[in-house]
Amino acid sequence: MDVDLEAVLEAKKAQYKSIEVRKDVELQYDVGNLLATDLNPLDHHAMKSRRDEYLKGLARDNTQLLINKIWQLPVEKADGMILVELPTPSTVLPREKPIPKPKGLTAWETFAKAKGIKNRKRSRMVFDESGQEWKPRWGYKRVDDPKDKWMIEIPDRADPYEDYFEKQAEEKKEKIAKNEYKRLKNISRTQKGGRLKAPLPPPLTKDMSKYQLTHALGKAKEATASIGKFTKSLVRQCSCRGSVFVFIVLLTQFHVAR
Amino acid sequence: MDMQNQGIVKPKTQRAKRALETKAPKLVENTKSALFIRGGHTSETVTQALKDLSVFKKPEAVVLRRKNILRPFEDATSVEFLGQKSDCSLFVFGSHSKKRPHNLVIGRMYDFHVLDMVELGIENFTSLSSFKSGSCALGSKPCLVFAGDQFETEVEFIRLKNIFIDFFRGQELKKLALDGVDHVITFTAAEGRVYFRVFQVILKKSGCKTPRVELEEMGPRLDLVMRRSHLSSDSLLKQACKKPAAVKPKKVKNVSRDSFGSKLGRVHMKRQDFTQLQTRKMKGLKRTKPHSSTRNKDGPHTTKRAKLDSTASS
Repeated sequence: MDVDLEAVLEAKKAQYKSIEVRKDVELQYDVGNLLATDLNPLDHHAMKSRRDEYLKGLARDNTQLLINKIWQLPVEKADGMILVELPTPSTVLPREKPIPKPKGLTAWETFAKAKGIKNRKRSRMVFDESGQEWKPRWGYKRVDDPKDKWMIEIPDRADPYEDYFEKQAEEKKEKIAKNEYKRLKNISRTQKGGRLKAPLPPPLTKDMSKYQLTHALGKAKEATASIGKFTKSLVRQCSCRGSVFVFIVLLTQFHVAR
Repeated sequence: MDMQNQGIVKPKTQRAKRALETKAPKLVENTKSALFIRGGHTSETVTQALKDLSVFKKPEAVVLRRKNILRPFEDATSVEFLGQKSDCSLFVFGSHSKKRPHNLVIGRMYDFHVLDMVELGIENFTSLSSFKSGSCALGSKPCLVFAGDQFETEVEFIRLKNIFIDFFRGQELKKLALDGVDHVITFTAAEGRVYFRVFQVILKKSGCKTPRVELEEMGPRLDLVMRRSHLSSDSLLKQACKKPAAVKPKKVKNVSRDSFGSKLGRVHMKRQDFTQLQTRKMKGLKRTKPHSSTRNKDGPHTTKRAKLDSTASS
């Protein structure tokens, strides 16, 4: 019975072409990258006389060996597809960007860590007593939206001719400027050297666009000890929406308000 | 405007924030994108070669439409700038001149500074469109086959092999669908030339689980000759290849398996005083006072009964 079975199997196998490939030197594989390296010497005569045929044959043999390796991997089935788990690639390849440095803690974070203060999650909706409904804590139609404040009660001793709405708006601007100042201070502390690395303006060339030139002009104006306060501006420079410029403006505003 | 100083300019929209995050350095990086640049003068061979090669890099390919008058070997800063703007760390620059006909400069960057650059000349080129048969799915991972001992012996070729792997390997996958193995890119090095061939993989029945491989050439076909090269120093390459400590697989200590497959580990104990050990209490083993039959009755340790007798008699 066994002999019959073997004969049947042999006959079946003979129908199909073999998957075996004989090589003098074993190939080197990096299955994680689907890579195979053949170290066997090439047939130079074949390369000269019938190159394309030879290369195709060589490719077929090497690919067969690589496929044999891939098919040996552990298989799993998912969504009707047959998947194999690839091992980690063994070829050492360089990264494209440097390894990120761990971010430094901000001033608040170091304080909270020292005190043991944990962040508590706040609910999105807050119950508004006046309207007797649930409103979001922040964002669109929030609880304490300044748009809803149409009236400000002035205490007895306060100046009745002062514009309190403007005062509120000013205070909000100050808060934002203060926050921005602290944020930049945190960044400057964590960066190397402890100082903000101002980006160098690109060298002036004749191919520069109008925008680039005005931007460079703006940077040149600020490159003084007084941050351009006393530099006479040339024909009306458009305000550059550069980061350093905005920071300086806000900083001076904050100091003036103080 | 250079946004090198991350954090100073805070993005105002979520989309901008996400864009910055994808471009930022990460522990596990994105798949490398390639930039295809045309030089001041290009021949039809070169433009077609660039187009065909970009097919194998899509969707991680950026093909620049306009011509850029650059000389990568003389001044790499322009290439670096283009790479930075399009967030590509691989590039192929094609040009044509009398001195260097049908020239391709293939290179890679680390931190947007050129790491390696190799100049290859195209000697024979057959475009993708000339091959009527054979095709592959867009974006599928290719099999890579290198042949020829030059790839192991010569320094330039060793680096070139590394560049080719970096360029063509595509996404790093943990799981591969067996249906997705559809094309193979072969590089054969002989006598200073690299023969670039691409074949479609056709899997046929073989009577056993592993299929029989048949190949159908699908192009493009390039015969490349090595010209100049600008390779980085070994120290820079080593620095670029460094893996972050957080990604390294954690070694599990003190776990071993015996021949039966049982998990074993060693438990290390402190020094113990075995005399003070708390064990289970067995009443029978309790240390009692010695029995009267073993001792002298007239002695000081007489039993109660004996005492009563003495009082009764008096």
